[in-house]
Amino acid sequence: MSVWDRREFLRRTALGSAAAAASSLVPGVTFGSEVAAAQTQAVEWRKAPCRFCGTGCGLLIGISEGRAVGVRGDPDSPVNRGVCCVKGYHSVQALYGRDRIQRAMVRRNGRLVEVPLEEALDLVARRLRETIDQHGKDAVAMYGSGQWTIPDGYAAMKLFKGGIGTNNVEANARLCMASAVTGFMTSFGLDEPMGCYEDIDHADVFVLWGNNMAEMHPVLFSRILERRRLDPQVRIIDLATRTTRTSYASDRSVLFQPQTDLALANGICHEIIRSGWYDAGFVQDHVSFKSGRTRPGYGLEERFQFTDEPRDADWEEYVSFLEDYTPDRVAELTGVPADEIRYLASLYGDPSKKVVSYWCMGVNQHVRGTWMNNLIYNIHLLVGKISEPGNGPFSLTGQPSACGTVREVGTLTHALPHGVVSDAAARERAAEIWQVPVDRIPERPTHDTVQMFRALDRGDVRFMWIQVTNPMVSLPKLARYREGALKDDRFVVVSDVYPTPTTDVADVVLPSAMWIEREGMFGNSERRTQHWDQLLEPPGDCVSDTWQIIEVARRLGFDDLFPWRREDHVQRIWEEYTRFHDSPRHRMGTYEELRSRPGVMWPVVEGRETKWRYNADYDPAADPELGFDFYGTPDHRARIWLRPYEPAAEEPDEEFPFWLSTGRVLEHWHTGSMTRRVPVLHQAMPRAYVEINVEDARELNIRDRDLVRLVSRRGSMEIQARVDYRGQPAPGQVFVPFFDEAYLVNELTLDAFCPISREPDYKKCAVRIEVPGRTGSP
Amino acid sequence: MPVCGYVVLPRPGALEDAARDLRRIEGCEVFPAENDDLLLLVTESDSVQDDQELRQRVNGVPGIQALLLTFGEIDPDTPMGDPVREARS
Amino acid sequence: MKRPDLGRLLRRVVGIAAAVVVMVPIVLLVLPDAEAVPEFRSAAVVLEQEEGVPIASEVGPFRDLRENLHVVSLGEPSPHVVVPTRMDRRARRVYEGAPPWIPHPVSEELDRTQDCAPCHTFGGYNPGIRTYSPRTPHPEYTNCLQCHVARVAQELFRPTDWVTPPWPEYGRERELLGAPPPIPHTLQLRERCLTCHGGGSAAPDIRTTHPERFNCRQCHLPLGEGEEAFTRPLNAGGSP
Repeated sequence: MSVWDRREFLRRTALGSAAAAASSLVPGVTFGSEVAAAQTQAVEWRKAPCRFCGTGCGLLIGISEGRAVGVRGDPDSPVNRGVCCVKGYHSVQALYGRDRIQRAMVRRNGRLVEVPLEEALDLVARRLRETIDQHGKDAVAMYGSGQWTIPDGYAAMKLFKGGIGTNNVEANARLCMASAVTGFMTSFGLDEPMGCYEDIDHADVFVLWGNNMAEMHPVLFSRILERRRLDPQVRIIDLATRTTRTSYASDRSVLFQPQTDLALANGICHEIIRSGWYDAGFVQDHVSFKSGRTRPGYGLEERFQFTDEPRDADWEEYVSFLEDYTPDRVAELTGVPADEIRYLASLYGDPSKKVVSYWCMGVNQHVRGTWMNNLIYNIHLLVGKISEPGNGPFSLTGQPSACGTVREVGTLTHALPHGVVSDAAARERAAEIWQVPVDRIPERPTHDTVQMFRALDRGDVRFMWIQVTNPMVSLPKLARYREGALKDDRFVVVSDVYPTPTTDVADVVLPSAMWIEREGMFGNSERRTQHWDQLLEPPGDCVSDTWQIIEVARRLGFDDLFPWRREDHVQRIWEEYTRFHDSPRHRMGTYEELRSRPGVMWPVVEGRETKWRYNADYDPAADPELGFDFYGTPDHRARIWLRPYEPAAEEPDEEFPFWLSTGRVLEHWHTGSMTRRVPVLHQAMPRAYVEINVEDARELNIRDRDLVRLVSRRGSMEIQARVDYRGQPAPGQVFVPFFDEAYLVNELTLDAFCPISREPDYKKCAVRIEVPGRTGSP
Repeated sequence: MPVCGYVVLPRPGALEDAARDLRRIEGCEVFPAENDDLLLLVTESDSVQDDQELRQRVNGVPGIQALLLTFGEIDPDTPMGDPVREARS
Repeated sequence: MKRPDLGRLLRRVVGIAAAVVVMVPIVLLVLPDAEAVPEFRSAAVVLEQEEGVPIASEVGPFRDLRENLHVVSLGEPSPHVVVPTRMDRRARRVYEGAPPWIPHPVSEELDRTQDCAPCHTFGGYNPGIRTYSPRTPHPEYTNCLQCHVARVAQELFRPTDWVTPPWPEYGRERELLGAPPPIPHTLQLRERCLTCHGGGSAAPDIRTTHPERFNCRQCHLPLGEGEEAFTRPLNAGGSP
């Protein structure tokens, strides 16, 4: 039987249940072999990481008769220890939306029509070749995501950077954790957290920087709550611009004005130094000081360029820099009372307390996102609370393989699977592993995500292949980029599992095998690589994104770069890819280790994972003489950066008096193209809304569930107001979740970005609220 | 597309006749027990109305003493209401 | 196997016919009838107790975590208490073992504060909704809405081809008459049996008759999953 045949599955289920009923009436009754087969319907439980967020929960997927039938949290997974969130428990339903894309489609006369997969792949390869011939290799681009499996991202890199010879590879992770990468790179010289989730079991204080963990990383938040239950001395501090479930569950909720987290972090450091709470020995031995350019702009100009110019600084300069950040001045700017700032400093400064800081989009989607990452590291470095159990800054990710694929495989314009394109040694290493001429890999990066879509609009990029992501919902200042993608002589290929606003702009749609319908690996926030086997047959003509790339590559004549067979190509890719990381600082687990264990945390040295990097007690790559060895930098020291407060790109004014922040909700993941097809999740959270502060609503005479119009300089939309709802924005602020394609809040957002990371700020722009039907805006 | 599963208890001695009659009804699949006077029945039809008609024909088979419905599924699109809340509203 | 005569079989069928509806019911019935709405088959439970006096047999699930007796007022007795059956409860899970969705409205405040504990830490009669609140099997988890969500809309975003698989049957493995039935479901996050099997909120069809015997798993064992029966080859590991 075809495994996709739902009717056959129902028939066998009906037969099995009738047989079970008969057996309870007449124990021992037997029927023929078909009935016996239907009756046993054995459920096999197989491991896979969750499809959704960057936590990377281990799941056990129940498979019966070729269909996924249930989910359990994997009790053996050190990530989630048997518990999931509502998305994970119902994740398998996302496989079975009736509108799954099962056939390739080509746009003819404005309509997508089904074609044989081979024909669509031929067309993609032909247009790719023609575009390169007519407009040059930098006119073609690949745009993927942090949901790419590691083999997907690796195949894309090898084709574009090693085969075609363009650095036009980007991923939507640029929109969610590029600032985390540049933060790590500038402070430590190496990407990704030093610690791991096990820090939760040891910490006394949890400081959440603009991070609604109760909804966005609920499984980790539950681990924190469990830690506090076991030790009532534990404190959870929620630093945010909006009151959320996390605030209510925390011991202290501290609200600050948008953008002023920069001042708050510096204020905490000021107070730590003034009170003598810093760890002078740690700073002396393991820290050096840097400052960079200020007022770098906001990336709004076409063809924006910025390069930071780091220069050495010292302790005296740092102390004098912090003089601007006295508690009183910071209080005035942030709205956080001076006593509260002193309290926060005392928590970080108390040598008897272990402190972990968590953050995600609040810090990263920030026009000074890199700086903000640096500033949190400053605090931990100043008090020496880093790289040991229970002490450390921890940058969370939002996508299942933002770390594993985008950061580790390096699917960004400037990166390679190890190192950056501007580094000759890294290019040589890549050329050697890929067996291509080294000059094929260009040394100059091309476009970051926002500028790649600007280039598509301008016509500098003419062909774009988009896999596993939905930019026509998620890009800021959306209207411009949608119009750009729709222009004549732009060719857009979209590989996806469901129709989305992005398939609406596609010239070719390729049907993708989803998640457990193919073999793959994800890498989560704590450097844990998790492998899963193919557990289901994909429906229709669906094939993995990896194999789509390989098929197109072969049509372009790159057979020698992709010599793998379908049966074992994932293993072969893993073996080739891990050659890039073959050193004690990076080494990944072997294919066999990945298959047999519920995830393996790199660096793996002699089969052992490294839980705390840079600490010689745990990290074999660290020099035992140094104790702490920040070996990513030439002087083996971590950096404290002098990064000032600077205002946001667009702040409220008389015409647009409210801050607009966007984000997620518990029930939906990203643009909702999967979770909205899960009945439980859609029925719990069927549509987007705008949260308005109670006092603001009273002043504007808006009641809960009234329809209002939000207007920014870029666009406007009508949407239901929620007052005193799940989240409570501070006065003067509104919040809209972005999962709902019917309410595209990104028509309103601004495409300003952090000049270093090029990550847009989705959390801050200015809007006004109008009430339809009433004359004049309030 | 309704699919249903039943246990069929035939009248004494009527097993063969009941099985034969059921097999003649389109949409019926019959699975006799190997070691007992019992049948399993799976029915498939294209609409709720067809399913009702089919069930009436099954009910009309003279050799059947009792019919136990064990499984029924109509359309996955039909949202499942909450019985408790609906009962109160 | 010895073939039972039909008369005996039919007597057994009649004997358990009433029970079949509740005792053996066999997968969800989304009846393909004209009134295609799911059938409401709750049993009414009448409280025969004076106000504020707990029913002795219901006290079990209301013990607190230290297993000290926690006296709970059952509140206003009502002759119309409706307790959902096991089938009603199944309809709140997407598959056996999935976290059930929340069958009552969740206020905005509750949505923020997740203050579910007053009703669900110990469970008990809840006059507001005229039924019993079940006691949570895992009170140590307090980010409740992480797994349990309310349902505010009925429609779907897009149709689905998901099929809910059959629930495990209890009794199916009970081939030895009189033996305690095994546990047909997993225990992950459901280790406290009395959440579902004891107290006023327990579905009548799976309510224990002996809540005072706390050590449930002394007699009721989980069914193994796919394990083969143990066999030992006659000459295995024998002397050389």
